[in-house]
Amino acid sequence: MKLHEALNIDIAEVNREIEHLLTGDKDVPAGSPLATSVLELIASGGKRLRPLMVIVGSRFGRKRTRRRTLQLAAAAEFIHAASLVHDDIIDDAKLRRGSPALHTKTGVLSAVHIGNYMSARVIELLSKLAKNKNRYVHDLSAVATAQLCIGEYQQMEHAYDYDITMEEYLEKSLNKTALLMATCLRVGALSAESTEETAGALYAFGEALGIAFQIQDDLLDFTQSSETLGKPAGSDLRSGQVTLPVIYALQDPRLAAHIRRIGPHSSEADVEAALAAISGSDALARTEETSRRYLDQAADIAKQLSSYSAYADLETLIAYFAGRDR
Amino acid sequence: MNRQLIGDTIRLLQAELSPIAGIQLTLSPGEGEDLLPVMEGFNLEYSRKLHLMGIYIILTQAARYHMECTANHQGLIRSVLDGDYLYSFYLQFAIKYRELDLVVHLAPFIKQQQIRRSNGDYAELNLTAEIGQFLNAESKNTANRKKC
Repeated sequence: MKLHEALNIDIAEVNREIEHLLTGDKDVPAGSPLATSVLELIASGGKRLRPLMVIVGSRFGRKRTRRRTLQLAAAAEFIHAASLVHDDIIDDAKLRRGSPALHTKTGVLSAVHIGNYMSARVIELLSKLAKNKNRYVHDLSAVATAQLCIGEYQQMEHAYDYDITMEEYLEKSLNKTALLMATCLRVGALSAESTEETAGALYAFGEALGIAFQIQDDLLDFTQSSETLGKPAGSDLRSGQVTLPVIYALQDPRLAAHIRRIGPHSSEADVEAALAAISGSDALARTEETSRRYLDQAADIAKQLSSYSAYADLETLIAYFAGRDR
Repeated sequence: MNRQLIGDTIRLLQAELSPIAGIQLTLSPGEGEDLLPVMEGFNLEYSRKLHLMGIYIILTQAARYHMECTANHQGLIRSVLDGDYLYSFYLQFAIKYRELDLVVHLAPFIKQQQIRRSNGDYAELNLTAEIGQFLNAESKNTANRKKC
């Protein structure tokens, strides 16, 4: 069963709202290159995790605010998609979800501004929703987006840094991935007028869940085929990202010698050998175990919200994250 | 006085930007000075002028970084990232200093700028005029409220 089905969310309705962010913009002519690019990007897939989290968050509120929640859910996906467009330029990635990355089709300058358009469109929408008492909606486009950038700076600072500490790795993962997920849950809850306490608990839950998600993403880079990933397997190590499996492998002196030799100009054979050595060690099992600990932490936080009927949705999210394809 | 305002604004912004971004704000000669006479037309506190000038500088610099983003640009990664960070910092700064009404006013203008640039139209847009229009509308609203 797909996640949106397990959560009883009408994904077609969510997708329509995401598309409407573009098609409802009278400043963008239908059929224009910008419209086509954004619609292709939206249609290229993705699990809509962030919109689903906004909607789950809203189920902890005291009011039903369906329209506003859907708009916020769509905004969350736009923010995520815009960040992926810029990420692909930063990472020089040629593929996204198995298709050519946007900048390879439009050119870099145009793609940067298409991503900017998506962010600016969200701000335009959120500004209308954000009367003084609703300032939390800007957490999506201000706080969460700034933290995404901080995470990117941290990643850049630690490229090929084989002395990165666990704390530094976790902080980067929090900024790059977990805070947006946490913000989606919190904003969804507040949009439906939850208490601050409940919104805070959902935020903490989202942080733990998001870190587990990032750790599993690190793992997938070792365990999945290029075809399944939609990008070359082992991309993280090639691009100098020292992820959790690498951090654990570095604790074995024999492996560390192999890994530390990998730099921006390493041969493909050296990278492949390091990848194979890491995969053959206990680093992947330890990474899996760490991810599991964060999921357990998320489950403990979720228990604070067990009096809500929507508590079952948090359990569904944990179960889904625990069973991601490997 | 004018130079002092711009200098004070840069210092305020530098103090609030995340150190990890390592962004050094620089203005071209004369940049920002066209906003000064616009602000002089209204009865604004010095601190308000600082915040408006701050928003002007952040948005100008963010747009500039992103205009550098071509495939052969040596500092491409930094330019993408610095532009992204400044656009999100703009919102944080505006929220902190209670300039959300200006954010609402500028939102369509900034969006249209991105649309044009994604389409290869790189003409500079007049941010100063937009801030002037906002102040004008704000001033009229304040006057109307006093009449009521």
